[in-house]
Formats: sequence, C-alpha cells, structure tokens
Amino acid sequence: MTDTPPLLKVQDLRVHFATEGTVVRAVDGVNLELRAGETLALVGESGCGKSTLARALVGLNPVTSGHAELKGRVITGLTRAASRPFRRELQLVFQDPYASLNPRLTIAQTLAEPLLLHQKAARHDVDAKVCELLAQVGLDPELRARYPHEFSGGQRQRISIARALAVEPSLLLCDEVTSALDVSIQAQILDLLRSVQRKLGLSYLFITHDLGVVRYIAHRVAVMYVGQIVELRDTESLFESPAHPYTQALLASIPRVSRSEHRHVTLAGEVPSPARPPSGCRFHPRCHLAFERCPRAEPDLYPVAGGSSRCFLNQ
Amino acid sequence: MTDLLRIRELSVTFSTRERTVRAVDNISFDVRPGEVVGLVGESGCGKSVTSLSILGLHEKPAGRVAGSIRLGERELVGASSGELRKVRGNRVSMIFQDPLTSLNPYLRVEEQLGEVLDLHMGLRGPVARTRMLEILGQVGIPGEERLRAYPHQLSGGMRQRVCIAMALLCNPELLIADEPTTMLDVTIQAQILELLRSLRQQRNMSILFITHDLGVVSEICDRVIVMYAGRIVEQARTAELLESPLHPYTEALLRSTPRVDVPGGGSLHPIGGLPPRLPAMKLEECAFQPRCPRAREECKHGEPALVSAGGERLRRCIVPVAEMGNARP
Repeated sequence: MTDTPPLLKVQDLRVHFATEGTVVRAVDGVNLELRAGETLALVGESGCGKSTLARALVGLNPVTSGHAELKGRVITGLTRAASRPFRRELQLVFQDPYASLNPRLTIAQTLAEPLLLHQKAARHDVDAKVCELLAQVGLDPELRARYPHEFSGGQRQRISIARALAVEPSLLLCDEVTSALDVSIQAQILDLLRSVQRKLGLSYLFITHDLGVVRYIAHRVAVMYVGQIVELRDTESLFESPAHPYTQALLASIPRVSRSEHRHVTLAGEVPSPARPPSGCRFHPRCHLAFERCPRAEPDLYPVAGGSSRCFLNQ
Repeated sequence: MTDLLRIRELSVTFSTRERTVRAVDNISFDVRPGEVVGLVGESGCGKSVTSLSILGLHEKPAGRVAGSIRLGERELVGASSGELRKVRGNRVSMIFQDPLTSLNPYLRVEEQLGEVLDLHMGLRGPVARTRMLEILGQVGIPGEERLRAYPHQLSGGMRQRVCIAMALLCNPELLIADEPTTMLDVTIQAQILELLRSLRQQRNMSILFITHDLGVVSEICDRVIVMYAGRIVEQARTAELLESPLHPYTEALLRSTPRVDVPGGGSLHPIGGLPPRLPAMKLEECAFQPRCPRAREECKHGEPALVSAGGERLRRCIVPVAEMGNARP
C-alpha cells in the first residue's frame, strides 16, 4: 500500500480567520497523506481545528495558504465551477442526520437528486439505483417513499451515507458521524462503514473525539492541538506507546470500562485559544515534561516508530 | 444506614391525542447518604424522566406520576409546588448536560449565584459575596474577576463548574447530574469527574448520576441501575456489573462499546434492531427479547420479574445466571 501514490495530499495548509484585531490560526501548517482504501482519524479537543480542516478540503472554508491535492490535482483555492468535477470525489457526512436531510423530500427523492445531477443514473433507471443504494447501507428499499421523520437516528445516518455513496466518491469526510447515536446503534454504523470500505475501496477521513471509535475504525491517527498535528501514527503504535505528551494525557483521561486501570493523571488547565497560541511548543504551558527549550523554539514533527511526533523529547 | 432517597413503584405516563406512553414503568430504587448511583441506558429508556420526576419538573399535565418518591421523611409525589420549591435547590439540586442553556446569558456569574443565595438563604451583600467566592474556589474557579464574567466569556468546562457551584450553594444532600460531562472534551470531563468525586467526599453528598457512558460509570459510581424501555433490567455494584453483567442487555451494551484499551478497539457486537416503542400497557413479553442474542421461546410468554441474583444484585431475565458470561452468544 505504501508504494501507491496518495489519494489525498495536504501540504502546509493554513486556514486563518481575521476577527477584530486578531488572527485566529484555526489550521496552522498541516501536512497529511491519505492512501486509497485507508482510514485516517483526525482527533483532538474542541477548537483544535479538525473540522475546519475538513471543511477547507471541500471548499467550505477559504484556504489562507498551502494546498490540497486529490489524485495529483489541486482541489483547494478553486472557483466553484472549477471545483465541480472534484466535489463528487469528496463527500461529507455530518454528525446530525436530523439536520442534514431535507424533511420535505422522500428518501427516494433525496437519493435521486445527486444521482441525476452527477449523471450517475438516467431518469428511467434512477429508481433501481436508489434501491441498490438503500440495500447497500442495510435499509429496506421498500421504505424509499417515506420521509426522514419516519426513520430513527441510526437509519437516518444510513440514508446520509447512502446519499454520499450515490455519486461514487473516492473519499468520505466523516465528521463525528456516530456522536449523536446510542452505542448499540453506533456499533451498527461503524460496521457498515467498514464493510462499505472493504467492498468499494473507499478512503475515510474520520473526525471524532471518541478514541475508542478511533481504535476500532482507523488505520492511522492524526492528533491535532491548537491548529497543528502533534502526532501522526499507525493506530496501534499510537495506542500502545503514545509519543507526544499531549496524546499521552488525552489517552489517560478517557474513562475505561476495565476498572483495574484507574486513571489518575488529569490534564490541568484548558486548551489555549488559536488566536493567541503559546510561544514555542504550543503544548508547553500544560506539559508536565516541559523544559527550558520548549517555550523558546517550535518543535518539528520528528520520526518515531510508526509515524512522527512534534516533541523535542522525540528528536 | 437509612436511605436518603427512596423510590417505590414509580410510573410516569405521557398522553398525547393519539396514544398514551408509559416512559417509566414501576421502578423502585434507593440512594443512600454519600452514595453515587448511576442510572444508565440509551435514549428513551426513561432515565431522564425518572430524574425529572424527583424534582417535579415534568411539564404538567402531560407527565402523570404515580408511586412514591421519598426524600428522607418527605413524600414528593403529589407535593404542592410550594413544598417542592423548598426541596429544589435546598435539599436536592440538579446539573444538566448543556451548561450554556442552564445559565442565563444576560446575567453575570455574580448575579446568577446571588439570586440563588438571596431566594433560598436570604443572603445578600458582602456575606453573599464571600460565600460565592468560597464556593467558586471549591469548584476550581478562583479569583474575583470570574464573578463579573458572562456565560459566553467562559469555556464549556468553566460553565459546567459554574453550574456545579450554583447547585452546591445551599449544601444539597442530593445532587442529580444528568449527563453532566457528555458535551465536554475528555480532558475536561476528567477534571469535572475528579471535582464531583472530591465534593462528594468532602460533603458526604449523594449523587444520582445519569449517563449513557459505561466508562464514566466505572469512574464515579458505587452502584449502577440499568434501564431499558422504561424498566430496570439490572442493578448491581459497579465492579460486579462491569465484570460480569447478568442481563443480556447490559452485556450487549458493554460489547457494543468500542474499547480504547484493547487492540483494534475490541471486537464490536452491535445490538441488532431498534429500541422498542414504549408500550402503554403491561408487556406480554420481555422488552429486550426481540433484540436479545440469548432469547429463547419462554421469553415471549410473559415479562420476567426483577428478582434478586444474590446480595443487592437484581436482574430481570430468565436465562440462568450460570449461562451468562460463558459461551458468548
């Protein structure tokens, strides 16, 4: 898999927002590669820039500098018309399936729209294609004449996924897709995403705050902190031996069902504002391992087993 | 030890024009002084409705409450709104999932806390101010400048701390916490759980902790009550419940939760199907039976009773205890 060129390549991407007198550096120099058939999880706390990054990739946020390429062609900073051919390739699935489906359209209408718009089906065979899509996400095609309010949260999320799959994308951006669901339903959706990936060879950029979900679904993980990636690792390397002190603290603060490993370390303080990132290493004010160099110089991403980490201790 | 909260045969029904729904069906449990009891289950299982009944916070006349809720010697079901007002805030207080909607966006922290002290304890001026600073210090927000802040100027974690401070002002015996950490990031969640643990220790305060997250349960609860379709399906001490669940629903919940501490996130076993629509009348079968991997023919004939499984453990299932935990379905 390592020899194939990346499906998605993000280079030194920055998304800055100017507000009264300050600049919010929401995404501040992110580099990423995502291969075909791979799931990369993007994790971090509220405001770390993970959703802003995903929105920038589909053109919903303006890019300040840097760029992203899909299959070798630049997809950021384009006009609406110029980006149309790529928009099909990249589909977003959101957290709230209640808000992302049109309540006035039947499921058949909701799914037919992208099929016709992107010429993935002709008028006469669109109904057959709708049924096929519903079957693919585990819903009974007989239900296609119903409206969104007649479905449960989990079923609606299946419909959102079917709509994203309708245009045969190569990459799904999943933004907290299971956060609004109960655990028993979450497990169903995670299994569906896995089997769809196996069948269609799709890639996922999977944004979530739930590290249990990450360990289950992701091949690699990027941990973000104040607009930057601080650790980028193979999933099992990250969970078995987190390299960055922030990742270590994040993992330590997750409540566990197994009582034997009771958590004691809690990270004091709160995430700094991306409008005023701390000098040097952005994590140094909260880091229990910080030393004199940390506030003075900004660390790079240094290679560690199975990936890289932005900490002088890994240099 | 005498119970602080004693709930007996509590049922809550809601009627709309089309149908009547029994959201909580004949539940009984106790909370002792200084104890943290978890009320666990998925959306619509009745856990929040139960907690709102304790404070009489249902929108009347929609929610009809039957049964008994005793706080110490006082009966709360059927109490007048005047009597309930004396209980709320003084003896029992509540914190919610979303601190932003629990705080008044137009009032400074000082005014929100001051109102509680004035109404419930008749405290004003410098005495009230001293009390506010003391309580804010206890919840980890030191310094006078926070008193002048508006809710929007505080982070999510800070806002929940302000809500906790407000709930503690009158030294309640019971704190009802309804998903208080669900909207917070994990590092902030860890801080709030730590805070609640230490407050409970210092004040010997009881907490009824409502959550869907079994990880959070293991961090803070002494005992757990698992609800499904408006009824209690299992009750046990936390460690027992998490190590050897005796109801297939508890077992299935544990097995469908992705694990951070197991390679590959553990193997997930989704629970098939959907939670049932809540029935109006008595059930003719086990409520979990249609989704239960251990279901057998008898499960369709009559609802099992909630019976003792040794000591304080209760379960509502006819599958023999010896079969649970081995030969995973």
